[in-house]
Amino acid sequence: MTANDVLLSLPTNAAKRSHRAHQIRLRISKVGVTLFTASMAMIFLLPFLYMVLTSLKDSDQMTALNAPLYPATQEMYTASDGQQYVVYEVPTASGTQELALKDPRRTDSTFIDTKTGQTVEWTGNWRSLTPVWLLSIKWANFDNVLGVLNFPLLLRNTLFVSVLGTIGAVTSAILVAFGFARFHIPGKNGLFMLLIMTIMLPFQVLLIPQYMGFMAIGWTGTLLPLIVPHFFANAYNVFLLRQYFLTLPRELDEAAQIDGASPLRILFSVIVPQAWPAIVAVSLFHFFFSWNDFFAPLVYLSGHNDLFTMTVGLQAFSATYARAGSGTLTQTGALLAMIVPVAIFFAGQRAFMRGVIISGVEK
Amino acid sequence: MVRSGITRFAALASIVALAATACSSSATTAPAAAGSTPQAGGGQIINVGGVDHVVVQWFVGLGSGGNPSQITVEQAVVADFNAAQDKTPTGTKGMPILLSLNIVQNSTATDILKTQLTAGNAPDIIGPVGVKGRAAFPGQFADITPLAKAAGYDLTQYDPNVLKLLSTNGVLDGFPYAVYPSMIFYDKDLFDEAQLPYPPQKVGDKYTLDGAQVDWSWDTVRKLAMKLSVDSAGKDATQAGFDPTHQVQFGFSFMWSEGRRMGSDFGSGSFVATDGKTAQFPDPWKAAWAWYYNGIWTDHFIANATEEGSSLLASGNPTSSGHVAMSEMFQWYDCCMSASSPSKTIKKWDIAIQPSYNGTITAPLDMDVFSIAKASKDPQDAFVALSYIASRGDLSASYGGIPLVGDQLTFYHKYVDALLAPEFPGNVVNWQVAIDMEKYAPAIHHEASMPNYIKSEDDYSKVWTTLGSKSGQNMDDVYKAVVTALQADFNAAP
Amino acid sequence: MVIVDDKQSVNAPPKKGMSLQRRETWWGLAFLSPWLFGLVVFTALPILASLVLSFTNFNLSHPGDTRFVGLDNYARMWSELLNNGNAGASLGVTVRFAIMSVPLMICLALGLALLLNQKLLLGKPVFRTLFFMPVMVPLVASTIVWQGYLNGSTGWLAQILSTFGLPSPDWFNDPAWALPGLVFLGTWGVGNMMLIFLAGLQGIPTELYEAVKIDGGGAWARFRNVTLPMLSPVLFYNILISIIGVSQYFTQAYVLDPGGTGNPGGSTFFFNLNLYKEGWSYNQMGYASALAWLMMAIVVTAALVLFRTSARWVFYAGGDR
Repeated sequence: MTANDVLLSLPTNAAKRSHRAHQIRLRISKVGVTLFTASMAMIFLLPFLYMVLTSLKDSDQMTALNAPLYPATQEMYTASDGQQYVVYEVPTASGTQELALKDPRRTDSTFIDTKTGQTVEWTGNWRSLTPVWLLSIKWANFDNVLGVLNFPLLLRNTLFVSVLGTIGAVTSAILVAFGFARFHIPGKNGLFMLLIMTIMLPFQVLLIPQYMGFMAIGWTGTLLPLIVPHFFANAYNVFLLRQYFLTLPRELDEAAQIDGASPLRILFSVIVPQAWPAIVAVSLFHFFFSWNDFFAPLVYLSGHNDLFTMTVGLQAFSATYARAGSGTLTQTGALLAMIVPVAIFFAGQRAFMRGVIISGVEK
Repeated sequence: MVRSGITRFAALASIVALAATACSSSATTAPAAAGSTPQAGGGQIINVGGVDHVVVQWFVGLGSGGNPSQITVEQAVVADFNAAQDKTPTGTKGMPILLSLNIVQNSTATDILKTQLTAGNAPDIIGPVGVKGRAAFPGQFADITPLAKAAGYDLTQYDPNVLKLLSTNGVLDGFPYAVYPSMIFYDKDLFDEAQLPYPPQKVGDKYTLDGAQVDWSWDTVRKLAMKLSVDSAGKDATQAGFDPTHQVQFGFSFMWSEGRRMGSDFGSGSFVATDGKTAQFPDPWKAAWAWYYNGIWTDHFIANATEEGSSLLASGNPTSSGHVAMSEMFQWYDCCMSASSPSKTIKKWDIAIQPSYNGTITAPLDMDVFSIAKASKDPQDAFVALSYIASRGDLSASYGGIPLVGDQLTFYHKYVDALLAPEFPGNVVNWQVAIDMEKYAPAIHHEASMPNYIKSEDDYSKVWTTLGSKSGQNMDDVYKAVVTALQADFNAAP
Repeated sequence: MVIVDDKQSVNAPPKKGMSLQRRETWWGLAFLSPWLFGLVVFTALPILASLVLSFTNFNLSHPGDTRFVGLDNYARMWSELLNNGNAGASLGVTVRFAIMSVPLMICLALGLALLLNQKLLLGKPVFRTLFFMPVMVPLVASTIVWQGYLNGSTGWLAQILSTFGLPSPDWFNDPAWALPGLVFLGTWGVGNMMLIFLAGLQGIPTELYEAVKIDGGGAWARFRNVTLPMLSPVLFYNILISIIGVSQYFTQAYVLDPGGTGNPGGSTFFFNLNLYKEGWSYNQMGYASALAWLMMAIVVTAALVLFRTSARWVFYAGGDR
């Protein structure tokens, strides 16, 4: 903008003209950059469109040759004998005609004229012909998947795990972050370094003993291992909240302290109200983590279909249905599984982005 | 600032709403969440309605039995049995038996049963379970013969060959139940399109190939399948100029097969020598693997892994895609013949007999048995419940196998017709072919036990799957790789 | 790593009695206690236990036979590494994936962040949200979507390429293309890194750019002499996080082949797939623990190397860290 200021301060005609030219150039480049970014975004998000359209297709469309991208079915012709035949666009001496394929053979085939019902002999390779496709949306896929996937049950289990887990994760992280941010504890910096280090620890080393521990107390095959550990403060959340707490002015809590408020009271009536953006971000972080977690539910819930969460349920569904050839139904399932997190993301994206940025910049 | 306040409020509100939903639903989920209550162990005595009952646990999941329609029948069987027990107790202790059903998902059933056996709360009845399911638990199942004798149950009504095939190391550790023979599926429309005669449906019948009467052998199938493999220009695999990179139809597929079953199509055998610890590769199995490999890469009548996974072949379900003319399939594939009803991909189809190799027909046979855990505290009561379960024709029909006791066959036909009629209106399948194939089962079951079973199976399968994905292989190296990997697994067996 | 300085956070005013000091310590420890408990129960003990387990033959199906086997598990792992056995092959897949994916993802994230930081771009928040959104999709679902999207016959990529007369591989069914397919899938997770870069970019003081401009430097000079050095701490952080991410890669490969053998042709047999198979299918928890420690050692080494070299290329504005 400094360049513009300089230009504006020169009141000659030539400068005015060049200023306008500059403005136009600027506008063109703005449109250009924006268009470029928009097309990048489109390419990036094209698989979503694929998913949506495929989730509405009939599975037969997937195995057919020369099928269109949109949901469609082949036009069928019902002959006088009650049999149904596929209608093709057939090039004949009298131009392209829509004929129903009755008896396909390798080098010649018998067709039925859809208008007259007369049989037509045609010489050529029927496989090279294009069938006639009609737009047809199969909403029934959603009914099917909702039933087979047992979507309400998965949703209930997933919400149960992610909401309880979020409550635990956020509460514990607030307490611990407050401890790190406002108290003098001998060896605190060492402890804090330890906390940071646990963020980088590969989960594999912890997995097997944790699994055996939960098995020993009979918690495998329950939802507890997916909830309870989160009540003991995740390092990442603590880090994020602590950073935020440190930016809060200390005058308010000192005033409260002089009034004789206990530390707990200070935390909940002074610190927490000021820290909502960070707390919302941490809640969203944990909620999404929990919703999308796969390995832990896979290991702990194996064999307990009634406890499955969305991701393991979807995986089991896809493993069964991809094999049965219904690529369309697995896309429908994927669509249903992502609806809730994506919707919440859009609702809470501002707070969430801020959270990512807080955690990213400060490191 | 105002806007960001609104978004923040929306995010909070959505979380509160979610929490509310979860809490209201948690009233119902809570018991499930707090832990699927430990199953009452088998053999336990519990008091129901003032009367002591002996609990018999029935574990379902190692084989079929987990589909919703099957679960309904299973629950009905359990309810009927328990009701009858309350009227006339037939438990060995003079107490009524309480049959309790525990259904788990197939893919994890092995792990769960393993854990239960380890933890000492073994179920009593385990089934239906295939040979492979049992092989993962060597020595863990009880011998049925003395139990049957004590209960006065007649085992002689079964074919002795089937009993032999069911036995593990000479011990009948499974109660004979239902079999699923192999056969050849063929799509009549694709044969009509190629103007070729249908494959034979009676053992001994010849096939007419290029005007000559020939044996229905694997070599005949190869030649026939090439004629039924077509590229997008309409040329078949026997013609000059055939383009295998644009293939739109395949002559043959092994439906959901695997290495040992494929080997057994050519003759009975095993990867373990009779000493139980030496790895080997039987000669007929070598021929089978080579037939498969060449069928993919040289003669182009079988889809390679990429083609099989493509949408053209219904992402790995080639038989139902309408683009495969012949398929070797097990009886249980009935379940998965079509994804839509009525099917638009296949309309008219039937089944044919298995081809022969060196003049002998071998039709691998899958079977379902019921086993009783060796660790069962009350095997005799378990057997009482088991013989009732096995007597229910509607149950065996829901599993889709061919029952081993003749009078249940009517149930079977009713089931298959009800399943397939809406999907393939007007199509009639000659099921006698499948029943005939029962007699051609290999002497050694293709899923028979091996040391270090699960790992061994993974390891030979790893080599086997390369046949479909990698061309230019030397088959002798392939056989050697299998034997080497298996020998290492056998040596490491616990 | 910049940690906000908290030397001033001593809560009590100076010159108060010892008892207040101690009270404050106790309060502080009480607040830390959930984390301290979790640290011991869910982190410290498990780490110790997994180290001990890795020297035993612990098998879930015969826990009674557990005994110490010395270095047997490590010897087996070593031989599998040397002979391209399961451990070696799966580590190879993971390393190959890291080499393909990490640089690509960093470049893509940086590129997008630069684009979204452009003064000329209209509607920045919308684009930021759009590019970030796929991160929210459960990995199981996004893997299913890409599996369909990249299908060699009905997938859109193949169809789009074929309208230009270009051939397309059948990504997830072809051993040579399955890993690149997963790299593609990974681009949907680029949003996180992109945002972190974006935040870093916004933290660069504009005076620095002005200075380059005055020196007559162009766009490249600005990027080379200002953006890159100023972003280097963020870059460092992103590289570290990517490496840790690859070391934990599992879900996508498991969805592609629930059998856990890494089909097609073992090309997606990631390290953790092998670990899962060993531990949960074959019940060899002792050996699986040894595998976990191998991965831990590799990640720690990689992190140490990064930290060591960071002095040479990571530029901290404070200069004293």
